[in-house]
Amino acid sequence: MFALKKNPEASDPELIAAILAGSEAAFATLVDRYKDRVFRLLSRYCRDAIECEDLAQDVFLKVFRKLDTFQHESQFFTWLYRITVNAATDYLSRASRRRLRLVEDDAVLDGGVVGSAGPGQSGRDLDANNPAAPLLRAELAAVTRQIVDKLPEKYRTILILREFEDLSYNEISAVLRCNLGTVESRLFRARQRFKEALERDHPALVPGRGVR
Amino acid sequence: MHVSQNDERLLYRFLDGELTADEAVACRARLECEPLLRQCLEELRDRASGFATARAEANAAPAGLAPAGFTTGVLAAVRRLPDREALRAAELTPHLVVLCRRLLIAAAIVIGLGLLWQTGLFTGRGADTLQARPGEMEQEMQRLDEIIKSGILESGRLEAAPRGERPKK
Repeated sequence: MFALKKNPEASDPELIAAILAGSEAAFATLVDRYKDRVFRLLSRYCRDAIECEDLAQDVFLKVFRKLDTFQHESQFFTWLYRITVNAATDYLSRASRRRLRLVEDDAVLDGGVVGSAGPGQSGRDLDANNPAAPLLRAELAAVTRQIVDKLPEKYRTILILREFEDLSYNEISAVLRCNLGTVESRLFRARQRFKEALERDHPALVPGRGVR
Repeated sequence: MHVSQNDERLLYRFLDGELTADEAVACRARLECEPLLRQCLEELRDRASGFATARAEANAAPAGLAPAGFTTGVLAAVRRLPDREALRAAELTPHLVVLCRRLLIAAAIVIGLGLLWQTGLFTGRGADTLQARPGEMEQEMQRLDEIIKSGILESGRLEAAPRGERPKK
């Protein structure tokens, strides 16, 4: 009934056509192609590996169910990202309804190196010449994740898409279905929120203060 | 001394690679002759390095990757799904339920508004409508007639009286 031979070279539209014609192998190829990206994106929202796997499976099942509604107006991966972001934000709202706390980096919460950094230290300490730079970078990364986790959902999502997933403004606008101006201004506000939280909660990690 | 928000936005777009070629050239030229702008760019880069490190860590971590056998699990779940026609029908049913519920709510609102209109709540008809028995109405009409007549007589007397003199009642 199904064509069993996988074709990893096939383009997304070719795979979609094959899936709609009943090819399970084509769907397997599509899942193989995008599963890691979907997992990575979901892991920005959900730190529990099992829940992440469940969410990823839901995402691909939804993709399979809705594939005949995909219009080919945008790239397949932006459509897939939209479904993934929706699944992740639904998960977050369910989790907040259940008053579940998201997993946070305990080391960062307990203080650690960030807390011991002197007030004179600044972002310039991240220079490659500084022997402590790798440690500071690791701390900044941990604090970054922690702050992003606490941002409101719309700011969190846009920062994840831009900073972690490295999507362009155009791709973000396709995923979030909003115009470029909205993407730019929302991203700017998200970064301002991030900067405020960094200055308020982790002043030792704040780069110089030339920006207001 | 701070850079403006517009310049900060410009620098973000520069870092994100979202400027056009001409805009990027202009931005680089400004960066060469404006130390404050350059300093701001460095700060934005430092802050962005937190994201870059977090991204690199997540990409390197096996926890961020799909586990082995994930595709097989998804395919097994797909096989348990009904065929596309049944899926479409199954997805249509909740939509129809929602649509019917919305239509019922809309109908209830319209009927409610209609009833309120009928009772005169919007036109204020209830406030200026007098309710009385026919006999009472007749009496009231006569009373009003007398008032009008006396008013006419009063004004006639006023006109007939010489200036400065008030008619005696």
